[in-house]
Amino acid sequence: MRSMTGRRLVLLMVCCGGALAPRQGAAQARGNTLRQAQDAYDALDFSRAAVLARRALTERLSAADQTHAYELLGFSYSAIDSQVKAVDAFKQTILLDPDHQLDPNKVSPKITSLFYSALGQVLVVRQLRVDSARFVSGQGAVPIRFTVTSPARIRVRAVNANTSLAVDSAVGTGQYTMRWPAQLPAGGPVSAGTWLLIVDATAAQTTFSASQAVSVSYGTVDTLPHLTSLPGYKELPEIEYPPPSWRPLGLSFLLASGAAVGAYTLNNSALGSPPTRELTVAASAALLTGLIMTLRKPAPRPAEANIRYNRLLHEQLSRRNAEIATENARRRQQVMLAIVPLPRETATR
Amino acid sequence: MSRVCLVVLVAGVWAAPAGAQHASVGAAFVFADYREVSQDLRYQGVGPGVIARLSFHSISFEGGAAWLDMSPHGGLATSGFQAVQLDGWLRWKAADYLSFEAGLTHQAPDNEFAAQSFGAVRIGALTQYPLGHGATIALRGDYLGGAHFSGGGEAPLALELGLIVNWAFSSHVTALVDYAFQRLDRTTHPGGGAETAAPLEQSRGRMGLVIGF
Repeated sequence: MRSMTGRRLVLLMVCCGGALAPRQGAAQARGNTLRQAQDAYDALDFSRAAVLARRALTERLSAADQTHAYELLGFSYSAIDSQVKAVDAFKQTILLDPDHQLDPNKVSPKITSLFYSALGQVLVVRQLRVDSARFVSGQGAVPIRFTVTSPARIRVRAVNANTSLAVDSAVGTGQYTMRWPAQLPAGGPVSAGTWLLIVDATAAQTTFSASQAVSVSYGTVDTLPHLTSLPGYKELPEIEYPPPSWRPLGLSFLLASGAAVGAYTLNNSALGSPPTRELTVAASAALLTGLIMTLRKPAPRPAEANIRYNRLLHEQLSRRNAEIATENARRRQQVMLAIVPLPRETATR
Repeated sequence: MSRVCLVVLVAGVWAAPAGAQHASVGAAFVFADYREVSQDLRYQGVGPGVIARLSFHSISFEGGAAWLDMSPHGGLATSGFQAVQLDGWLRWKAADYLSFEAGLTHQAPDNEFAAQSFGAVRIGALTQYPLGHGATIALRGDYLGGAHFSGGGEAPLALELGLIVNWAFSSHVTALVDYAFQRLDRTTHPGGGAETAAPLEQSRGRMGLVIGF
């Protein structure tokens, strides 16, 4: 009966995920024992696979092969229902490669759950990621993302050759995003060069550290160009030509008539008829001038509304350029920091 | 007092920004008609004249002098006379179309038996309009107050009317034609007797060219 139950479980494992066990193309490079363990697993001989995997771990293996051997061991124990041993094997896998992940599309939920069970039993800092960032010193920060698998006290530091800066700290577990402003305590930007961002997770007597090297370089902050015109606004012509009119001749006629009427009215009859020579000359000159001005193309005249509009436009432009000059003076004193992550350092325990 | 005012005026003009100042001088051909007492004493004449203008901001000054050679014209007068005609205007442009003015007028004939020497203070207003291309036309009217005559008498009613045409060909050259008609209802008391009317009338035309700088 027990044997039947075991076979059913094996068949179940095969159906659920055993067939999806890892097949690495680089198996040829591994030791024979590890390859035999993989072959046994592929042949659904999980007990033999576990034995061979354990034997392989006694041999000299690379870190990647060690990780693979523990993973194969975890899979095999999972298949033969040795859950405690499976979790232990996965714990070793995680400690060797904290960022190790199982593909839920290829691995059975049972194995995946055991893997996550192992994750909760070890303290590691996983998936430490530092984004590339470019910002003005004091006006931005570079995000640091990581996951802590068990409750721990977390400290993030930035370290270079002779400086160690505390970035942030927390207590807890799960995913974190901390921000590094890349500033010294005095407020200035950190020195250019290579910095190491270290995440320390401490729980009881266990400590795990993960680090990521980043390159910090200085740049100048772009200044704003001065404006020659306000976008969307253009100057209006300050001179306009009025339409032709008879106004000049009319005005001349009106005023010359006024002078004539006035002279005739003012004339003292006791002194005879009013003198006409002077009046005729002046009135003729006035009418002739009025006629010429009427026939000529009207003289351009200032367009007062446009002049006021342009003056406002110039004032706005001057004000905006003054603001730009002030902003540029400020920007010239600023430093643009470019932070780029370098190839990842390995975790230490 | 008048000297102090003149000094203050000149100092004000001198201190004004160059862009606000405009000064010009020119020459004119003056022709005039003068009548006195009755239509039998009538003279006409011509002569050269000079013009000076000074303006700053809304204040302007214009002065003119003319040397007229007056001859009898269709009356009983038998001899002519030489006359110096002096005029001055101080104007304040109160609005685009309106200025107020004050000034002096004075005529001094060389033969006071032929014509009266007289002078008066003028106070009045001037309305002016642009015609385009630097041309302006203005009509002015003044009261001539405080008139005094070499032959005595007074003129409680004394008025002046004027028509002025200016055409600035450029910022430096301006042509002008103006006309002035003066009526002075002079009365006298010969021998301390009854009041006698001795009116004066003068009509003057002027054509000139002024150069600004």
